[in-house]
Amino acid sequence: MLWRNTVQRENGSEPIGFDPQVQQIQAGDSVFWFNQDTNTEHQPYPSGGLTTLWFAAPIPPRATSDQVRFANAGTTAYACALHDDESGTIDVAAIVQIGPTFDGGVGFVPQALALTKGQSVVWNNCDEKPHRPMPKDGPADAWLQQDIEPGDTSPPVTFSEVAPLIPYVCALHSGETGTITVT
Amino acid sequence: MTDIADLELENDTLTPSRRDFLGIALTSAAGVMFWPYAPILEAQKAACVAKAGEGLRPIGEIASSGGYLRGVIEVVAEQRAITYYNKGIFSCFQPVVRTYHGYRGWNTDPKNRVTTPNVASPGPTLRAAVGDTIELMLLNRIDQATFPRSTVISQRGVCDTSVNSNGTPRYPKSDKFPNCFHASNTTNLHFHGTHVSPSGFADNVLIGVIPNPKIDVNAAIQGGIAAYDAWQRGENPTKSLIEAAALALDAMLEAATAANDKELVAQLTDAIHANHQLTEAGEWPQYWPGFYPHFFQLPTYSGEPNTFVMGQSPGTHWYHCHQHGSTTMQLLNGMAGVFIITGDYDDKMLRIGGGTPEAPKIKEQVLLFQLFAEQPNLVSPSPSSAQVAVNGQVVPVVNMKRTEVQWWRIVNGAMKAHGIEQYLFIPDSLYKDLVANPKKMKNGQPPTSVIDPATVPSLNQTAQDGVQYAWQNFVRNQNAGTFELAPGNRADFLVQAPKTDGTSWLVFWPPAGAATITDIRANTVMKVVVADDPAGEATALPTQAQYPVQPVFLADIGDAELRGRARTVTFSMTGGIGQQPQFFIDDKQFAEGTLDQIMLEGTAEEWTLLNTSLQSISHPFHIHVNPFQVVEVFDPSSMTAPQPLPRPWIWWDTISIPAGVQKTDEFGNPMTDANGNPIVTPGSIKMRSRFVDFAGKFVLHCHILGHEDRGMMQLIEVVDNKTVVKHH
Repeated sequence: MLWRNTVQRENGSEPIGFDPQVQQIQAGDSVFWFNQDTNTEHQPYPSGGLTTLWFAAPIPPRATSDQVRFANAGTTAYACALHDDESGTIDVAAIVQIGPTFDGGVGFVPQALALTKGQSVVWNNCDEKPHRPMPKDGPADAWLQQDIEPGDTSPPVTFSEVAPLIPYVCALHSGETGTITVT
Repeated sequence: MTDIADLELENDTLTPSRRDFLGIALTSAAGVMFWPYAPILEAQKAACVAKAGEGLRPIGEIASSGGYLRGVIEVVAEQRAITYYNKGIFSCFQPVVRTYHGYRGWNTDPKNRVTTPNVASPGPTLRAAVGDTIELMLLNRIDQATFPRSTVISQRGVCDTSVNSNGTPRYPKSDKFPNCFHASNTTNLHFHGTHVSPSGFADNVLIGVIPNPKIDVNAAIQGGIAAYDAWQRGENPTKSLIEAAALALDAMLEAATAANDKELVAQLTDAIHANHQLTEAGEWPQYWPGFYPHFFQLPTYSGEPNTFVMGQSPGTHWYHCHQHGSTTMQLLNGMAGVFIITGDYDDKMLRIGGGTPEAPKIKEQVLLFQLFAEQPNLVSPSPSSAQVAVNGQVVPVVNMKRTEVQWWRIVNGAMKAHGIEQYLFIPDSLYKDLVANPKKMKNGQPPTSVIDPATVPSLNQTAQDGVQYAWQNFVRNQNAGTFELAPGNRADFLVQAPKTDGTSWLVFWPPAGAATITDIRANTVMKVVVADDPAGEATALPTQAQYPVQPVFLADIGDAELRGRARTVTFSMTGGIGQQPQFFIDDKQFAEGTLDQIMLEGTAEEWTLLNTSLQSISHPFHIHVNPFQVVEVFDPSSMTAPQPLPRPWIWWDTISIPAGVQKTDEFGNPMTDANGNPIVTPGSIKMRSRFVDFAGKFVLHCHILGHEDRGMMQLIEVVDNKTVVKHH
């Protein structure tokens, strides 16, 4: 997926900086920025990196940037090289998709997800029924406070501790299973 | 011969239409009367519900009436739900893509819209008869701000760009302008398979309709109507249209200047300058501000002197975007549709089984194969890029009755990685076995030898690339177990259901030597369910008396007719799968402003098409305007010598040139030259074509459009034999 962010500082009725402040995306997605100002340039760059790492030149007024692709799960803080008060975050989660199978069942893909400590995962429900992943031995609300409705994506669930194998199931359909490992 | 679409730049006398077209520019400049449409999309959702295995739905149509096909094709940015098979499940995502909406008549009233918003789907099917006039307005209302930086026009020399989050470049790397993905929001229309002028307001792919989201749609359409009316009166609206376009470009420039959009200002300034240079040189302006009024007639063959040498073949054709640099992006986004041209062929086909064209007993199925993806894989891999959808649906279900004969019109608007795919029906029991035991597919060969033909639908081809088969070829190709389609190909079949109830799966198989199938479900295109008594349906193939007779102009191009040059055109590439190859024709990439082939109007020629690419990479050769006959084929992976084909030769407009193979020495070792490059035996096709009826500039190219956008295209011209020079 390609995500469109905006940046502005000339419109006093709107917040200065990047919108959304935290862009939640999935591994493999790309992001670009549209400069809404009519006279001001902006230049997003990853905090701590070179100001030209993503874009060799600022984004001109009323123009869009090139796209930046985020291949791996993790969090990237970024700022504007030209304005100290403009900053944002790209939060890249691993994704598990929930979808119908050829034979009428429902499955998780990937069925076995590998994360590193501190990474997040979201479940993307492509099925026509609600689902709610939960640890096999845990309560239904251990990860998610509510079901994921058809077509929706869950909030990110962050795994902060190493775990060799976490079997999980759907709280609504016990036959739907998957695993997560955290290294 | 000059077509009605070959309108000259001079001879403008049309004051009323000029006034109407000035209206387009003035209202655009003033920024008033914008169409009530919200071009800026709302926040994207990340997920959607996967839809697979539903009954096949027909595509909405714009059909001609009273000899005229009148409609609007509107290009907009829209969020669309795309379903794809994903390692055991069906997934879905909702990217923002460039897409077609079609409207019956000259309006964009939602009640006349025949396309479905927000789901993966093709453009409207166009249906007109040979001899009809096409009056189709193309509107480009893409909002540039919806997509990452992409130049409005091609003059800026900038490729689409993608960078990884760690700063390493993803695209364009070694690709160089103009042979890279670029100008991704500029578009035009190619009427693929039509025998009409490549110039003017007909099948002109050398123009670019730049996005103009603030165009006054009503004014543009009214201007188009005025031009069409003028044309009907025998007047020439060309100069008025060009003036209107120039004024509208000026208005766009003015608006961009007011908004301080410096990039757009620079690009529009370049576009205006380029158009001025072209028109000063007597050429057609390249850049059009959000609108292009197509009008042309589908030529009728009469056999009379000084009329068309080749008429339009009635059959299954299609249309799609064709702006160099953006064809891949836009076709992947779904910008394609079927163009059915009717004639005697249809009349006969609809009588199969004893029905009539008004009350047929045979069911026609229009099937457009497409890939839907957000961007080309080189720019950013799309999870859905391998899913073949039919009419926008994933694994749709077609129901047939026992022994029923249906007429399937298949258009391959997909762009697989290889130039050609083999399609076959697999019975349900074998399909389930292959799902459970994927290693049975390890040898890379389709399982045709273990399929009982009595258990699957039979394939009886009646046309190739929209040109009907002669009776002999229909008979020769009856009861086929498989068929092949390269990107751009069309194939019509009389598909007959087996005598017994059951389920079959239509799957595609990559060429030998390419990737092995590891999950047959990923290669599944359609499901056919056979049940019930066929009472009231066509159940028999036509006899020779019932079969449509080929028009006279489709007679073979014999040796005596070959008065033009014999040419050799070589398709080649550097690099291979997994690299970023470069693509060439005759050792060069497409170059703006350079003609690579020039043919004399009225002549027939024989061309030899060579492919030196290895790794089973065939290149589908496509040439605009005139179909051709394939007379000889050489696939060095399976033949020892070129194989002449039996007459009557089949007509094509897109043919996959077989891949080359690396030569081996007497010990079987691969041979290389002094530089270590493989010594190749190229695959080849020998074809014959008549360059008749229409002079003008157009293109030939590889129909794997990622290859075309990246250089595998030539600009060519058919020149007429008229001159004002007199020797005495």
